[in-house]
Amino acid sequence: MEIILYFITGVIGAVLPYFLTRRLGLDAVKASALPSLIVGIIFYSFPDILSSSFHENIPFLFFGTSFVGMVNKKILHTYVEVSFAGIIFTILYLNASSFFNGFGGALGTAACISVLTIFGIKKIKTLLRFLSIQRKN
Amino acid sequence: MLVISLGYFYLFQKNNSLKFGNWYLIIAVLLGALATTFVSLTLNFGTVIGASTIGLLGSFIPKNFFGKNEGKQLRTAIYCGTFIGMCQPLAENHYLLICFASFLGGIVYCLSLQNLNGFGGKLGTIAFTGVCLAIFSLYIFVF
Repeated sequence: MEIILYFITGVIGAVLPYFLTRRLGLDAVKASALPSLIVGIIFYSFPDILSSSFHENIPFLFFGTSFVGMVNKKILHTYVEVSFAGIIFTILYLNASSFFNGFGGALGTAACISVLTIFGIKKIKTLLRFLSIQRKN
Repeated sequence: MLVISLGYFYLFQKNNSLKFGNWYLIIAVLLGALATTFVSLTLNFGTVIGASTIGLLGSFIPKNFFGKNEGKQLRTAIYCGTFIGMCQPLAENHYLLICFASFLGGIVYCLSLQNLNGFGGKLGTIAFTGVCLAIFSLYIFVF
């Protein structure tokens, strides 16, 4: 049950800034910072709203996935792709080593990895076409 | 790893020019990092509130602040700085470490203006590079 809630947070956190940028024309920075600030304030003001592990992780998870949502629509075209990037981010967040804990930018790096992964999967088709042309020549 | 490398090399092949950004972007990164550290650690609001507040305030900078579209770069530079400011205290003089990390992060930001544009997580990766370089230098030259 806990993990499902983390994944839902990951997907919402990624899709919401993407939606705000794409549909409402908001700046990517504002679209990422505004929902994160709201979530941060809610969890700061009501510490007993959820259990302590949720209270610790959900603001960070939401903030991290909001970086995924900052992606341009030319790179990830659909909401489904952004959602999958959010899911990959959540997997990375839940299974990452604690070695880089407390380092600034670790969340952003995980976001970049998840976006690059989805982008790479999309480009497999291009790679296969390139290889087939090479083989013909 | 394979798909990440594929995505990265595809992008690198598309754009391999290098152009250094304006010097004031480094100062924007520095200001963003210091303000976030102040809000999150000194005022004790937590890193998420600190970073998002400073990022949100920075995003109100007008689009054509210094010149055409320069304000937009300033906003992203400040947001990049806020990620550096999310660091937990890793050394005795934390503010000095943040200054050093954001200076290095600012240089990386200015170098990568042409690359990975529109990618989610680019700013965070730059911040992470800055922090890692700063801590690496600290271990080599200080300890």
